[in-house]
Amino acid sequence: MSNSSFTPSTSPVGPPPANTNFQPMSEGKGSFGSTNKPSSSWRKFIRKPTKQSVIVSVIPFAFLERTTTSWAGFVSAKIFHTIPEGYRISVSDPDAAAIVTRSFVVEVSPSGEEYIATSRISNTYEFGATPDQAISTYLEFLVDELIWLQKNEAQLSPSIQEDLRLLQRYLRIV
Amino acid sequence: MGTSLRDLRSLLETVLQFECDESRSHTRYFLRVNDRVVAETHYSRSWRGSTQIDDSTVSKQSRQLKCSSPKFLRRLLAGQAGRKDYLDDLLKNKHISQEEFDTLSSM
Repeated sequence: MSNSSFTPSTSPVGPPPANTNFQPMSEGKGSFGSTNKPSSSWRKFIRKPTKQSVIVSVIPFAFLERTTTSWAGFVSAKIFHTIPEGYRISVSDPDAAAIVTRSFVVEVSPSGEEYIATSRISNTYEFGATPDQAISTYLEFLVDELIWLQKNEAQLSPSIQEDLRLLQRYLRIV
Repeated sequence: MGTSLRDLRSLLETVLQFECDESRSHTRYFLRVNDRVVAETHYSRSWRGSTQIDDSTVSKQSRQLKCSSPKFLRRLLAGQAGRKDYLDDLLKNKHISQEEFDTLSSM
């Protein structure tokens, strides 16, 4: 993607939850180092997250620039957004909403000409023209997925029921 | 070889014979046997027929479809494996029972 660029979010930023284990990026695509133990060089970018904000964790631009080894590494950089406990996700089709009952991290990375958002609480994914749009459509899809799985719960195979249980640990339809 | 949404839809609808639910905001496919949903997946509403599906997405889809590996899903998408191979894979990894396998095989 030739025109991709990451702009540091002006939203409050903070480290990922302590119980989150990120996979290291693939070889040759740079590394952010340990996300659980941020180095002092980028501590200055961190602020305490608030419950009012969706976007609370962004790897700072300057940090990426210093630590990636190539331009390809830079454009492949991932962004991690923590969705805080208590956050409400509203969708219009169907008209529904869910509350985040446990914070989780959404991972956004470039994919073709779009951005793909994923997380460890589901095998689902969604795309968007911008990172924020990818996160927004992804959260909407999670709600849709939860509704669909709950509606068909009695008919789900054990492995899909496990998928539902995992999702229910983080989201509740209200 | 790249994989497009067209390939994915063809695989799900024609080869694997998944049911399609377009009643919601997202297009969802699922495989049902004896009133039990054993696999389900979706595709992004932003996709068009020629949209290329990258490896990380195929990996996610392989988990949704309960494939034993992304490589196996790639083989399905490339036409190098078929419905019987998929059902064998589901049975082998205990996502369906022998009875369900027999039912699906006879359809």
